[in-house]
Amino acid sequence: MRFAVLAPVIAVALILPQPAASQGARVEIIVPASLRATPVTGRMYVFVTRHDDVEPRLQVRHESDCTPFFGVDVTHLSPERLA
Amino acid sequence: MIDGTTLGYPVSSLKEIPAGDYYVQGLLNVYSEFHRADGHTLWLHDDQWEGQQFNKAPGNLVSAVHKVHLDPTRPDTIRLELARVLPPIELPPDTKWVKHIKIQSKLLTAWWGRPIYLGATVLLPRGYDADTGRRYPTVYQQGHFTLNPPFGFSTDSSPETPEERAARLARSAREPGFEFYRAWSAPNFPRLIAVTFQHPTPYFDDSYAVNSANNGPSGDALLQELIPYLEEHFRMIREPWARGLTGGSTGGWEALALQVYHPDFFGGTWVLYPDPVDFRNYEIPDIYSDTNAFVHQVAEWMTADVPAEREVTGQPRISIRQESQFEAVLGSRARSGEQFAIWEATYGPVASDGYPAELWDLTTGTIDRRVAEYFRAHDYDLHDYLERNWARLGPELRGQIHVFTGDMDTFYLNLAVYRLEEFLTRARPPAQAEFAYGRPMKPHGWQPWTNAELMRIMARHMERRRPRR
Repeated sequence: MRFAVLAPVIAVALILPQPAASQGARVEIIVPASLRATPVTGRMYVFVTRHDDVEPRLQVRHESDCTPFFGVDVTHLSPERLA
Repeated sequence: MIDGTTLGYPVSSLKEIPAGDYYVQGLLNVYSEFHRADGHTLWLHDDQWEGQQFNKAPGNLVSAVHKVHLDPTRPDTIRLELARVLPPIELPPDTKWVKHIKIQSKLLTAWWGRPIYLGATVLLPRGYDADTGRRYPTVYQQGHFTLNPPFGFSTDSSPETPEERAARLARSAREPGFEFYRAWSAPNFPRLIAVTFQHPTPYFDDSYAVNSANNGPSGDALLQELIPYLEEHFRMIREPWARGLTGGSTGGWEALALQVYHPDFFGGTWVLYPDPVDFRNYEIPDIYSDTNAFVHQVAEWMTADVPAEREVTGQPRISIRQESQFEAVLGSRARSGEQFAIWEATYGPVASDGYPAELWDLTTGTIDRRVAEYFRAHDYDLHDYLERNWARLGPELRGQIHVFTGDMDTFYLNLAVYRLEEFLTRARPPAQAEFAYGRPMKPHGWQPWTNAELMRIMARHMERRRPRR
């Protein structure tokens, strides 16, 4: 899927000031209750890229062609709860 | 939450991202609970017929793409809402030439405790519908999960540019799919059926086509369920001489493994740039004698990172340390869905937590010798298996093994092929095996002929071995 198709979904991120400077930026993620009513277990990722030709998630192509990304396990994450 | 302490790849931490404007996106790879027949309860990604692609799998949750300013000195918090579910895979339609099969595997469903499916894409020969009394030899092409037809068969006539053609020929003689279609459909082309399999597991896009402690009876499922189904529903000749094997990379290992494990079922294999066929060259490392997969001791005061991939010039691209980090970010407990994890899931034991035991620690590279010895003791080191069993296997495999690889294979896979060749050249009774190397500077993916030429070679081999009654 080409990113151009998705251009309308680009949003201004909600950036909140955080009181203590410790580890630089952090990313909080929620699953909306409207999308999934039950807790979910899996692996959460965040992708960071300078390029908008395709969605960031698709820029993890393989081990030697890969935009920066970060991953962490989530276990029984409830809807609307921060991961 | 993901912050500066979360492991990343290729950068290790979010703190290493320089200040600037970026696009960011979140994604959740959804796991399901498996109550496996060996008593372990596991959380794994249940393939949705996408071939274990975490970033495309139907049902996975993704956020919108946000443009943000990141600055490692600023303690900002970014909130992402996973507001979208990735849609189902679009299945290609059947055509006159190409048929798609998907069946539920009783064996694998019983093993995993959830419905597990096997698939095949079947390419029919010219005249199949009209000549209803005729049966055909079959070429099984092993390889990664795809719903595309075997051998790239395509009726799309979009031409190659001269530049694309030159670049392709520098790598390999494999032709574009339309050229293969034209050859396959021509009047003088051998009439064969060609088949690819779909057999994803929760650990990879492909089961490696063999039974294993972690993936269960995957080999049995192919031989006892999928192939019999195909042979009942298509007019295939149900005899060993008429079942040929080929495949590259993962599929190359499978094409060799299926032939040597089942010499009475398959009638010859054309193995292309296979995954390691001798674990003394597991890419570069010797898993039986090296203590660390990341570091090569060059001299007393000098070490070098062991590379995992190279350019054809020899220039390394990434190291095993980096590739291990890639897999560690993709998933814990061998759930990366990637190469090192599936080798462990296929060849290795089940760890006490129910997930595959790691051959090496993804952080330190320390090799677990017990895991390495398990690989060998359970017959997954194909050279070792052949050598130990040659008195029995040799007569059955005579003239059946053909191996091809570039001399600068991207993943150093030619090194293990050299070791296999050394044995099969001296083996008695004689193996009459064929080995050919792409030289100079041929990468992963090299083959010496077009796929159409390979079909002619395999058809001649099968015809020579057809019993004369």
